[in-house]
Amino acid sequence: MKLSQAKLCTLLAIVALLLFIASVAIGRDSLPLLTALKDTLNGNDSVYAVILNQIRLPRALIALVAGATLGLCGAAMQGLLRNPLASPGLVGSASGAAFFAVLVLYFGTGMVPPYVLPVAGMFGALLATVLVYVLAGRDASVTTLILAGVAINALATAGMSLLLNLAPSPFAVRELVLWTLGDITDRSMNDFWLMLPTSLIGWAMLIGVGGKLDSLTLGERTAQSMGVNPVHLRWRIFIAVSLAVGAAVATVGMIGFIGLVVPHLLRPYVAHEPGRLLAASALGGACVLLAADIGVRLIPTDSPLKVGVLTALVGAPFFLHLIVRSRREYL
Amino acid sequence: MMTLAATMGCSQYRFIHSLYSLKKNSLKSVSPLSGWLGLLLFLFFLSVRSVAAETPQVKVASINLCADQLVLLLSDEEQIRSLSMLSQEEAGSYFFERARAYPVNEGHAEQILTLQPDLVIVGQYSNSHTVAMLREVGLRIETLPIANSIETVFENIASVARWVGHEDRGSEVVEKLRLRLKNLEKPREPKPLAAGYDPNGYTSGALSVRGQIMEYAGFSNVASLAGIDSYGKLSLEAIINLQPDALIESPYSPGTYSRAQAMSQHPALLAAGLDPHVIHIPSRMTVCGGPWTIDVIESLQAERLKLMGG
Amino acid sequence: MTRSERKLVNKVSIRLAAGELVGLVGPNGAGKSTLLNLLAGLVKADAGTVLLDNKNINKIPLQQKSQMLAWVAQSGPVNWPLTVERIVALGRRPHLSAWQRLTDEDTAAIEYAIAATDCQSLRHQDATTLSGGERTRMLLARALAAQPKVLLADEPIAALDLKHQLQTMQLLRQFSSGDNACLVVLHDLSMAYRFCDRLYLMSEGEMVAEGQPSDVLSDDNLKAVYGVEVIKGGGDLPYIVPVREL
Repeated sequence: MKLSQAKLCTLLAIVALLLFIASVAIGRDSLPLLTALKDTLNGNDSVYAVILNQIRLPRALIALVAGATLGLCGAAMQGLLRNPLASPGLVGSASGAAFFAVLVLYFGTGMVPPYVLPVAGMFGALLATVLVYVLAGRDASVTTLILAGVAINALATAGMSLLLNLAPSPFAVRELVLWTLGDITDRSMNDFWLMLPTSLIGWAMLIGVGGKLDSLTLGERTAQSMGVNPVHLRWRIFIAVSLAVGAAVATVGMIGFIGLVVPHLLRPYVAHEPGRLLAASALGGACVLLAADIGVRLIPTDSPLKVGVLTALVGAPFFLHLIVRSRREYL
Repeated sequence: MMTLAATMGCSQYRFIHSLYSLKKNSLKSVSPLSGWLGLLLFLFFLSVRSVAAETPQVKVASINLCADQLVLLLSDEEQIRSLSMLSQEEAGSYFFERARAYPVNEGHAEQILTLQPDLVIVGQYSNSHTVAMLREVGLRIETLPIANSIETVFENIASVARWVGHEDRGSEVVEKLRLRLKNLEKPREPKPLAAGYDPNGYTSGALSVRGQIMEYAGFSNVASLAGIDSYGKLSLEAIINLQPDALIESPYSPGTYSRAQAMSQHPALLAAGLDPHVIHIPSRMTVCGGPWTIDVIESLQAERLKLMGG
Repeated sequence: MTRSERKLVNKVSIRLAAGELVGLVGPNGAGKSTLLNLLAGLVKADAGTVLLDNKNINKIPLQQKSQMLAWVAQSGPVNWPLTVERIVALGRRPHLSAWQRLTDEDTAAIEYAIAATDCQSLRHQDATTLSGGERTRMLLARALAAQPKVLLADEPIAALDLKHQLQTMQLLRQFSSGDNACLVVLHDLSMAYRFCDRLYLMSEGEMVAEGQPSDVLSDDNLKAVYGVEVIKGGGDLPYIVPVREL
């Protein structure tokens, strides 16, 4: 349990790196990796090189970034709300992104260029954030913000249900539903380059909030007396989470439980300090999503398993276990 | 070749097993016309195979169930690199047995790429990321639209034939199907009223293949009376109000207690004195459009005649 | 260092000079905590200003302000099971940038604060499991670790046992020397009388009296504000005991 921050993060980074390599190496079908690598280095556009560079590499990169975003944002939200049950989805941006992506799928499937989908998703995430801002007001308390987020979530979910309800055919319904399940299959480098800047902006905004989140342990008033501007901090985290999670959801769909479980899991290893948890949780999130995405390729199912389904499937019972354990400890 | 099993019930509802269980003695239950079609198709394949072998062939992969079946119908064996996994499903694929001779894919770009096809046929609702990826790496992609009329079924047959390099085959098939459609006995009034009935009350209206099948077979469609054009939900109340003579079902999961069956025994229907006949069409003949669509029409027509005669 | 205050809560004026330990007393709901929040710059007054070192407190950058002034809540939440030591170390945050590690100077301040509040035995304990009194001491230690010039403490001895009450008052007395000053909200009038240089007596949002403890805690004032009759005595060790309601 007693690990220094540097050691813990190095360990997690090594695991993430190994999983990243594994993610590139492992597929539903085997790939002669050496040939693929050689072809890539020689600039030979063989099928293997194409599979390596244009299918597996972006998939692993996107899993890395999206997983890190979910872990980081989960830790930031839990720190901000001082609640271990908080999740990045609370700010409403995830469902905003999902709604707009589904909207694109509904109206423009096959007709629009492929980058429209993630762009629309990110626009949806931003719109949801702006709506939360308008609803809650500048000096909103955390409770008001959450309520506004929940309201936006409800609205976006209602919108998605409406689209599903009005879908022109069972095939359309199937595609819309499958998209929302969360999946990284066959994303391209373009998708990666599209999600990267927004994700990085979100991450960058969270640099240096660790100390403030630590101060927040003693409540908002005390933190304020210790030099933290709670309103600034709140918006900073909200906007950062909106941007990063919005980019992730727009690219991979809804992937649940990573933002909830990973911070929870790592908290004991950082002595429960919300500041230290941020980096660890980002790395942990990347590990979990990479592992889950390898899992869906290895688990032999008739219909390809969606990674969001796997994380929820593993995450939910695990989360229940955590709750039961903490109940035993604290009650 | 299989057609459909139907129920003839007077006071008591009887359900003749779906054709899945009749498969073994299917030869006895084929309708003459569809048997002819099978023979024709067979001869037709024999005749074109030798010609096609001489020209360079388009290697084709399909990631869409409906495309799979048209590819199986229209291309040569050597052309087919891969079909979708669903192509081997008995419930959804008309050529499920033939499909078992080919490698299948799960619709991932990676699998398709290793097969190095010249052409990938995708569906209108195939995973957009996969399609974009395949397009990006430079593969020729053709999208098979969803058929919402018999005419689109014909167009789709023609398109796939053109894509796989056998345009002549396509036009030949379509021509024959058109002829069969034309030779259908003209429906007499009064048309029996029928409702397509899928789980949860979904039904197909006039702007769908299922709806057009009913129209050609000489049924009037409850969906049109209920204001459903393409695809929608038929309420129990609408059924009681409109009193259909028959429910036409085509459930995807074989062997389970069918929804139409359950529906026909709903207390409200019984109380209203309704006892619609349940006509069962194997789902593999209704999921996608193809030459078998005309078989369905012919068999439904036979059902109608029986219904009116009885 | 001077700290002055005008027109607060309801036309209240309060002033805290360097080297002073000033008590703020008054019945429940008099507005003492609100006044303390205003003075700490945690809430903004509708009218009037708070001057810290002759500067408007709301114009001082937050970090700079938090280096000069510490505020200890009456009872604060501890949301995560951090150790007491880590909580006290949070007091150094105002002096550190986001990535800076604790220097020897920081560690010394933390050690002093832990020792001064008698928290040594608690230092590795989970802060969420502390008793009310232990928690108060820990929070006071956190404030002391910040080495502020001005300490605003809201009822720091209300939950403490007799020994720790005495220790804490002595600590505040000791803190309030040289450049430092402390304003402390107290309910224990004997302690206020005994340790504070000056007292402010508040009632219903208004300042009723200010000055030497002996003047402020006059029989008339106590009757008017608290509505009780008291016995006073003690000379060097003054005490005030309520006798009966009026």
